[in-house]
Amino acid sequence: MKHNNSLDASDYYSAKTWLDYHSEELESPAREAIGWSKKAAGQPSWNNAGPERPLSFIEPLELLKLHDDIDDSLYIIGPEFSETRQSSVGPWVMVAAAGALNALSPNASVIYPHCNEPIAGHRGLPHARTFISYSSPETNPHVTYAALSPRIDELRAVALEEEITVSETSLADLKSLMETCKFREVPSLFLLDNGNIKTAWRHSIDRHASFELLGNGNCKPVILSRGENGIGNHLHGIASLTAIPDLLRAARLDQWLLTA
Amino acid sequence: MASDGITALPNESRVLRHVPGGRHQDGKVDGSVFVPQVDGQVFQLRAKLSDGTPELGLSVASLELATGSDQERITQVRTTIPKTLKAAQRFAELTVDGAIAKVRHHLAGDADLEKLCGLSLAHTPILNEDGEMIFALHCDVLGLPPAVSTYSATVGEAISYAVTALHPAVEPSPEPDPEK
Repeated sequence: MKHNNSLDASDYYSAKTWLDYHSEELESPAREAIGWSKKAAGQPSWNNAGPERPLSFIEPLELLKLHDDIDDSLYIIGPEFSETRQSSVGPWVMVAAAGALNALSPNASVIYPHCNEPIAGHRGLPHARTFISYSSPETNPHVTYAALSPRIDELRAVALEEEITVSETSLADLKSLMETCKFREVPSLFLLDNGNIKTAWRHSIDRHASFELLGNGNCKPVILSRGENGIGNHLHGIASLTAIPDLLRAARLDQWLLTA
Repeated sequence: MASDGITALPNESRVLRHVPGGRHQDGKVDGSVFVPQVDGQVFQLRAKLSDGTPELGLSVASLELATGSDQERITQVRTTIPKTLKAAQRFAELTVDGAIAKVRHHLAGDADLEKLCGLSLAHTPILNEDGEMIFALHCDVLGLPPAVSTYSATVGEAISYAVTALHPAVEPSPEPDPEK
């Protein structure tokens, strides 16, 4: 992903002004935008800077974090204005809290609405900040089981060397997990001494999701996240594989990990 | 806490934790590596509580007790650890202070876990039944929740973020001289 690193505080106010102006027309189109920007059904707000945070709560500092690989960076996704700035190419605008840049899928877009000069009847932002082009959520790839084959082969070789019997039922759980959950990122895969496979998405200590696959449709999750109040959250125990998306949503990690 | 006769080491000491071949990938170490397990004979020779029962610790090797350059210290660990090492395995380097910081960073505010953050490092050289030294650099990280604990996996994952380096378990072979 390429992005413009030179943001300043004025960008926040510009963006807020622009978004305030366009908020009413954005709500519906915004829902059609990138999957990780969507909120749970029934919640009308397009503002997804955290599950229940309205735009007014977004601090300038969060915007300034856009260019750093820091958790909870704030991204503004907006329409690409045409050369003449008479119309927007796409209607998608929203403010979304997301993980650090390297946690986004390759096709995730961070488009900053740009308009160098306001024109009659069309208010825009005074600064041009273009990131990468938008791609529709339908084209966002998700990780398949096949993509994990090289690592699985590697673990089978390690198992032979270290005299561990790989649990085929745990691998079957892994296949099932990849088919039912559309993950953005390829997980790390570990082989435990008991032969079980463990999937892990390890971005940071505040953005961690790992699941030991028990081979019976259940898993042992460990989810480390940080709540809006800044306090660390952790989850452990035993859960069904089908509960994983809900667990990730509860920890506010779904936008980071799931495409839909 | 270690019992009498066991030397406490500073928490800022660098230690190496053995990582099996399947539990690291692209520089990341699985948290299960940092969950203390009962390890048969070695367990019996470990730090003992005042009532004589062995205290469950996380086996590590002290770099500070070895001598020479960093590479020479790592080599001493490789050559003296009573384990058959494989090329796919690694040694994860960390400090107890670093582990405490990661655990506290995430688990602060959880009353049950606060009391689990009293980690310490004890020098517990491994001797055989005849009292002969087997592994002089062996230490135990004490105070971690055991594998059967509800919190062990969470604490292990938090500690995995304290790893500062991964070293090959087997000494890398020197590059062949192209002129020979």
